[in-house]
Amino acid sequence: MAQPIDTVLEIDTPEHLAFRTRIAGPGRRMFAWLIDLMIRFAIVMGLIFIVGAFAAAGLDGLGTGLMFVLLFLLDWFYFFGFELLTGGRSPGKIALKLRVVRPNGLPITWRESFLRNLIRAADITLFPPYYLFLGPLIMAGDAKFRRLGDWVAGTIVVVEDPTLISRQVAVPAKPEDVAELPGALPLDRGDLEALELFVHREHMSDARREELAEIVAPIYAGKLQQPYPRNSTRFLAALWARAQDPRRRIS
Amino acid sequence: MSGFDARIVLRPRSLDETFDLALAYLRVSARQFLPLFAGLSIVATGIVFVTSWAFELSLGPRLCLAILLTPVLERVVTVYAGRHLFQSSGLIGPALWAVLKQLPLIVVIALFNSLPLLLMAYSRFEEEAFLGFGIMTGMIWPFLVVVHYYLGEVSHLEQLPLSKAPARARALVGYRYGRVFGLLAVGFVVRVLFALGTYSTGLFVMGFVLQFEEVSSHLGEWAALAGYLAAGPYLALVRLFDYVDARTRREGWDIQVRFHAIAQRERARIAERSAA
Repeated sequence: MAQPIDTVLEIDTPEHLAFRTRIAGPGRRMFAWLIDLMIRFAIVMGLIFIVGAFAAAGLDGLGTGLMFVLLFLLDWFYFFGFELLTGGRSPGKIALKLRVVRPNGLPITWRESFLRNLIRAADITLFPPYYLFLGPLIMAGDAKFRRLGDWVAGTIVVVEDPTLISRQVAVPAKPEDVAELPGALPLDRGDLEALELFVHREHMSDARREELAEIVAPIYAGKLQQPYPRNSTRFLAALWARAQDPRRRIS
Repeated sequence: MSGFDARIVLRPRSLDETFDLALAYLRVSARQFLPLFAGLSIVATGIVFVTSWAFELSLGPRLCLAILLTPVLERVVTVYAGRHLFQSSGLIGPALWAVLKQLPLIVVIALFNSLPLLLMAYSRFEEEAFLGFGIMTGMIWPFLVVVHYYLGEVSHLEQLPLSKAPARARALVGYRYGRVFGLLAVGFVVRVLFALGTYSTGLFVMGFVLQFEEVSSHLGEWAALAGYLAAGPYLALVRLFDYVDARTRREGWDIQVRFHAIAQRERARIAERSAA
């Protein structure tokens, strides 16, 4: 059977550290782009105000010229500048927790940023009066959701969603249940991950929780030479709590 | 492949990630899904075209027909993708037949779900009375639609009778009204974007590439209609994955898969030991 489909990417850093990160899809990136568009619109409004002030002072020629220069800079260097200053994030990207990185997870340099933003114009192609949105189409068809600019610059956009370590446990363990368990637990990483998911999952009914717990609780009880658990949910919660005890030993 | 082994990684996902997952799934299973999507969109556009031509329908009724046809296309995709997700192969014929058996019911639900939109579309968004009534009912309609949002998935994939399916659909939505409301809203935006995309592309191809001097506005309308219909199958896939997400969060589908794998591993170890 082929690998199950997911939207995360495993990145191998030059330090041989492997980590998994979520690739940003077209929807999230479009919202980030819209936020940046609104910010740029606000800046343009400010520029028009300044030009008005110049015109009032009888310097309308200088004001118009200055505005065109600033518009050009805004259009071509807004993303480039922010990406350089913030390590691959424009204000829209910051708002939606996005970051442009290289395929090995390292921050982008000015070269990558310049290239990907130079090609930005091609992602929204204009043949007045026609508009062609090539970027979203190309993104939708790519495994890493890259637009043309990302292809050329060799970059990807990832979601920076830090995992919350200390989450609320949905099934709290009773101290007396934990005390009955031995210090050495025959649990491997897969067992612990499954138990972690189980004790943290909210919105599940008690009946469903018990139904799930009954799949593995008798097995663990047998391995720990414990009696068949009367309440499998409580037993698994105690097992998880024991596994979290820093004094425990994992065999 | 067991009944619990899905082609996707089962885990809770955010709404935007569900949309991304549908794209990734389509890309990986393009050979199965693209002909289905293209076939459904072409057939639906053909039906609207032939009906419009035969009855000389104006844009309003044509839009209404498209709005009513979309849920039928979506159901075919739901059934097909539901089977494809958990089975090694899926066949289009049985999926089509499963939907045709419930066609009257699907049309009635579609009528109810899109009533405000139908009223406004019928008058081409011009008749004030229809527009006013559509906007007024449209304010509360999404709340009514959201409550039974997974009805199609529940009735087709869990094969529940109509007496039990609404309660089950309500239970799945019960703790995630906000999210389902968001899905409904984003779904509407996606449909509009698809329609705008095909409208723009259609005019570009005719006017810029093929250099037709006068491009009829009717062509743009038809392209937009085809785009609107083509969005349906994709959104059906998104809704299916959102339903899977609801079940993952509510019923711990991912936990069940992991626990079964642990149980299977332990049983194998015990068998190995007793054999030794």
